[in-house]
Amino acid sequence: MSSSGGTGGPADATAPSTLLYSISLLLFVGIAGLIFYFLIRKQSRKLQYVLLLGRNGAGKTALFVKLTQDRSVLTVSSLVQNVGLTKDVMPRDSGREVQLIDIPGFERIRWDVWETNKGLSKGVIFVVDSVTIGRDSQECADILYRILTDPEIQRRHIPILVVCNKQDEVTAKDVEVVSDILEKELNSIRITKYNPTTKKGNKSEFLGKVDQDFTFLQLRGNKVSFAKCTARSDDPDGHEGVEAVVDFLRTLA
Amino acid sequence: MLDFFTIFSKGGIVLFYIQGTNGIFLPSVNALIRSVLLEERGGKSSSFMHDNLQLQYKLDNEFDLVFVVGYQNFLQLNYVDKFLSEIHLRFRDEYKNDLKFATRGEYKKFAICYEEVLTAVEEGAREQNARPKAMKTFQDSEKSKKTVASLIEKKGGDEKKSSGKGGKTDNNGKVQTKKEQVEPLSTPEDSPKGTLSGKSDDEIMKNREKLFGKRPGSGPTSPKAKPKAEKEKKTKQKRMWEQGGTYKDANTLDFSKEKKNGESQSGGDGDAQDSDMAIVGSGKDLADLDEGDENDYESTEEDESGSDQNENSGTDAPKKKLVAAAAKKGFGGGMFSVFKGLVGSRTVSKEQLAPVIAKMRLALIEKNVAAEIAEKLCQSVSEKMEGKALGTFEGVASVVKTAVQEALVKILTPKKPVNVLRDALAAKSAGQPFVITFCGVNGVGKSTNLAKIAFWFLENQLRVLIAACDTFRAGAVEQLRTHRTRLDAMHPGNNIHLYEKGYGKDAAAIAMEAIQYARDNKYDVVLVDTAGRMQDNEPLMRALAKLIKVNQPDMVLFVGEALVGNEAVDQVVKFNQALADNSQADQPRIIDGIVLTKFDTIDDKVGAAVSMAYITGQPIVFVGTGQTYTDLKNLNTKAVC
Ligand SMILES: Nc1nc2c(ncn2[C@@H]2O[C@H](COP(=O)(O)OP(=O)(O)OP(=O)(O)O)[C@@H](O)[C@H]2O)c(=O)[nH]1
Ligand SMILES: Nc1nc2c(ncn2[C@@H]2O[C@H](COP(=O)(O)OP(=O)(O)OP(=O)(O)O)[C@@H](O)[C@H]2O)c(=O)[nH]1
Ligand SMILES: [Mg+2]
Ligand SMILES: [Mg+2]
Repeated sequence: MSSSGGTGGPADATAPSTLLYSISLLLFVGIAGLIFYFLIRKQSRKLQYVLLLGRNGAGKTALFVKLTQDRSVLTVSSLVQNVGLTKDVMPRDSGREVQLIDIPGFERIRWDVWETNKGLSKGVIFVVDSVTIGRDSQECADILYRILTDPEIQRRHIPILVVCNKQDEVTAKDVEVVSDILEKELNSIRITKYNPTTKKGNKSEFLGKVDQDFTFLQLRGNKVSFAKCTARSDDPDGHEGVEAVVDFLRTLA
Repeated sequence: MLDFFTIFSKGGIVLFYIQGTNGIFLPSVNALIRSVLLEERGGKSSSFMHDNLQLQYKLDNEFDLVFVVGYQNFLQLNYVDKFLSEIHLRFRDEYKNDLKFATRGEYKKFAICYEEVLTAVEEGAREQNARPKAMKTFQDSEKSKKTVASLIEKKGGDEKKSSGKGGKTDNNGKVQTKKEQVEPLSTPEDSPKGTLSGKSDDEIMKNREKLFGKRPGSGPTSPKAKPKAEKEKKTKQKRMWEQGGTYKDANTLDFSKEKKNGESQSGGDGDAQDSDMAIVGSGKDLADLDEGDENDYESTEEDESGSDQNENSGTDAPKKKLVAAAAKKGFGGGMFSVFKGLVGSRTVSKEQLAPVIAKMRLALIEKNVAAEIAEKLCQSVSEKMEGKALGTFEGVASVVKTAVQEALVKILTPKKPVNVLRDALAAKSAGQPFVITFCGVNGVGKSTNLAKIAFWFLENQLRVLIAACDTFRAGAVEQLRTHRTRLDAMHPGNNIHLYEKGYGKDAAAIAMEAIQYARDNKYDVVLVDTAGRMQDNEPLMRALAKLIKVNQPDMVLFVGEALVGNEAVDQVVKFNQALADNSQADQPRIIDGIVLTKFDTIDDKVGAAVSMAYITGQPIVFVGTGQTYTDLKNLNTKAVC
């Protein structure tokens, strides 16, 4: 009797204890996992992005690769965003890297990616194709207008760098010309949002001073600066062509 | 044999490429991306034609890669499918670790593997070819070659189009001519239909044999090919229609591309329009519109119209997931990969996908999306999903749902920012009237929405001239006159005028006079009302094409009801076709934008919007949501999908 009870007792005792043991282990792993998860999340939240944005074919991906991998590659139109750290172009400032997001230029994809990431941005690089800006000025200005009037961008005084890319081309327009073209276009877009003479429209969507033609200097909150750039250089080493962009990134890092 | 082969990431970075003789391949690949991958026009066929180059691609959704092969389209290589899947596997094998950690390293070494795989596949194809050749010694080579050619070419086309699309025989002729240009094997034939029906079952059997002989026995292609050939045997003519469909499809693609390049003024993003009305008008209607305005691009994106309330409950979750998923990607996958390491990555398999996709298709059709388009969309989505890595807490169903949602948003988002007002103002400063032509079938609301748009222009300080070019339906002119009188009363100061010439006159001439009148009298905008016409009415369609050809309006808006389902496709396709057919220009004027009317009368059936936008590739410029002047809105894609 007792022997049978003795054998039964420990058996009964071990079963629940292993069960308990495994449950507590699972719980522990679960909790540890959750803590881990939130830690990582927090960390990555602190990592702020600089967004590369612009019209289709402006050279965003070329610039992205140049800044993150310091090399020139062939590129095709992007279907999804690229995310990467600017490791190689800022070696002297080790530990002060910037996370870049290259947003696809297709109108249909762009704004989705933009809306998701703008909240964590600390800078915007607006890439312009200086060769075709004459033809594409409307579309470029449309994109820039939307960035400049974005409440999130305005509220947080996000600095914006307009990169006039493809300066290696003979027909590329100069920085001043690009700036002029964009100012003119922005001026004509803003009156479709709010018309100062008739006081119609949504005033919060109006850029700059009401009584003057638009210039970038009128923007108080967001500093808009311009830079020359050659994202695709045939020279394998050295990142000349993108120094101005690197300087901008350095101010943010 | 292959012109080029390239591997690139979906982010747009070319990892590897082999280039044959013919210069640069980037434009072709970009065209493929723009008109197939981006437009949700992918599917079983996975191929595309660009400048005499046949492109075929394969997606790797786990590592976000695209494999593209290009070859001269007269070559009709039959081993490309096999090659693509082989090279895909090989590349994954070789660079698995690199890809996992996303080190975009150098992949030049892969050239050796490429040669190996290509030689092996070509070798295999040659062997397969050699065998059946012995069996078909006595057959009339000319004809049979042709059929095989078309069979193989079809592989490149869109097979799905077959689903009962009749009435497209008019395209056959064109398909034929096109093929003759590009396909040295085929001989000219007077009637393509005759050829087909004249073919005996015997011959078709032979051709089938040949087809199978040419195809590698194993590999993913053969199971697909078998049922197809079976179907062919039963209904011979369908095959031609499929090609008709393909061609038509390609046509549509082309047009949208042309539009994109050639047309610089596609309309306005029009954030402002709602708000303008809101401020001007006086009444509760306008408050409504105010909301509509805010939700346009900003955070409160839920309430375009009451209609989507019941939908929101269903779509909220996936929407959030979408954000979460995007965010996850954004965070560089830090935690993602940690968990992946623990659990092991799961990928979506074909078998898992099939039932979910079927369900999605039904859901789309329930939402009134045309069946054909639902099918294509689902194909494209499943192509994109297959092999995709699942997140730890994601199920196949939710991931697919998100993907479909994304696809819908993509379709409804214009390719370019739309800002009609800006374009009108630009025309004004150039001293030209901005001309908009409205067309559509009977009773869809052309005149009513024209009046609403006139009101909107008036609100924006532009002088409007309405051209009464509906000289057909009794009362059409009077209807416009009434609108004018009312609008004039609301905006006094002689800013709106009706140009009318009574009934029975040539509409094109009236439009032309009206535009001249506007020029002389400093009207800024000319709105041309046309008579409603059924898409099958040949003479009336020709008249419309003439009106557009003669007057070259700045914008051709197609007015369609939100109520239509499958019919939507037919309407838009035929209107576009008529405009293209009756124009001698290289880049004929076709529909530039869509006005979707009677949106207030439907619940959650946004299908018509999706169908029309998908077919035309053009934006939905305005949405009519009622019968008063202020019931005009922008489409809020987020709220609708
Ligand atoms: N000459 C010259 N060409 C450039 C330069 N930067 C980019 N390109 C070329 O411009 C084309 C488009 O560049 P991408 O970087 O793919 O453009 P993107 O902005 O990423 O385009 P999407 O992804 O479609 O939005 C490519 O053919 C590049 O080689 C440059 O500085 N000079
Ligand atoms: N509920 C609702 N009804 C509309 C809307 N748009 C138009 N309608 C109604 O649809 C009916 C037909 O409108 P019309 O503007 O005469 O249509 P049409 O296309 O000009 O017709 P035809 O010139 O005969 O081809 C009218 O009763 C309009 O009030 C809308 O957005 N919502
Ligand atoms: Mg890119
Ligand atoms: Mg009418």
